Amino acid sequence: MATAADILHRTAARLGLDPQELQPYMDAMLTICADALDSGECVELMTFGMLCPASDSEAFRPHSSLFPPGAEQRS
Amino acid sequence: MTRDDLIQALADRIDVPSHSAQVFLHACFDIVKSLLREGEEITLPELGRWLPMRSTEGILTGVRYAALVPAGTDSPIEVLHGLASSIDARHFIPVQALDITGVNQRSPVDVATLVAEVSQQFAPRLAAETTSGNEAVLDRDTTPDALPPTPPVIDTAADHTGMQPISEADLLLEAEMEAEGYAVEADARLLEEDYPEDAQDVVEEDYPEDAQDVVEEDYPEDAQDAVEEDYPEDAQDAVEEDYPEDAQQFIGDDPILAQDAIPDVDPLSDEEVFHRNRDQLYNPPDEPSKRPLLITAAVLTLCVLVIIVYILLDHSAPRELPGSAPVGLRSMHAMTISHT
Repeated sequence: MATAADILHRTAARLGLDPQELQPYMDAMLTICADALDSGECVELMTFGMLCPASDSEAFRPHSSLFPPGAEQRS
Repeated sequence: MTRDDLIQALADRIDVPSHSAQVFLHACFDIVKSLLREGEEITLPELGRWLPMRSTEGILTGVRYAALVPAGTDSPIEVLHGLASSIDARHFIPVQALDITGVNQRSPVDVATLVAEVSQQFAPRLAAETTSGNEAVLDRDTTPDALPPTPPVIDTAADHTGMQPISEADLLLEAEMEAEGYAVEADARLLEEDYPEDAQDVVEEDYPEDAQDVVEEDYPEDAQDAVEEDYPEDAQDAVEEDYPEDAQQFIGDDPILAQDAIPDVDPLSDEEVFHRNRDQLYNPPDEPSKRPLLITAAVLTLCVLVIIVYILLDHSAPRELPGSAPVGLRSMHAMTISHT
């Protein structure tokens, strides 16, 4: 299971930065998304998908780029 | 909040250039996507949990999302109160799903079992609420003559199987749910199974039209309007979109979301770039062969080596063309010696 810390370290490694430098980015991003969800607003998580408040029938709709080509058309 | 809004909000929050925020967000969620493709479960605090679903070949085929349960909450499922008519479109089971019985590849859960469990969970409370609530309605809107007779106690197979007899509350509840378009086929099946013929006859004899009239009188237009207002077209569209053929997949807390991948509707987005990169990721192009280049380089290197060796091993006198001045270091050296 990958947590926020794992993702932060991998992101820092990809960008060639120190994880401590990116910690404010991660914290702020999570806070912004949580605030938007609390206010009933959907958040577009870049090319990961659309995250909506839990009251919606579909809380998360993944972006088509998440799946292999042709998988998104799978019925 | 679009991705541009998220970028700008992040940049404003920590006072960094928007480009830096954009690079971080792209890299971060690319990592998340890569981990999901590798089969890792993702847990982000305050956002939720993502569970990958992979095929036997290890290809990501779907993602299950579950919102994190706040501390102190026992269940992420919202506790419903009120009559069955208060069940919204998120909690009802589509009728198409009821055609699927048993656990198979299309349905990981036996829908009939699920319906039976839900019915048992709702039955006692709903019966009590319906009984207390409908007595007042009946007294207000109907005359005593129109009231249905008291349902007799069924002493047939239902009693022998230990099932409870059909009550007035159950009939009203069933009619109400049917009027609102909810799935009552499962209940009908249960009734048919539990009360194969006797109970059905009793119901038809005792409530030939009265129960229907009561329902129509009590809920002549309100229920219909409520249905049309609450689910005018959206619910129908949602059902058709969500359950075109795989309606049974919408079972449990976490829907399977693979078939609902949203298209990239942002006109300024890099959808084409993503699709191209994704295609190259899964189908990398064949790299051109470097063998001809290596052979050419080897031949040229060999030629240079031959020339160098030839020059080093050549001890012959410099050739001088007649009538021309001697050139080269050896000629100059010879001329110097002759002058001296």
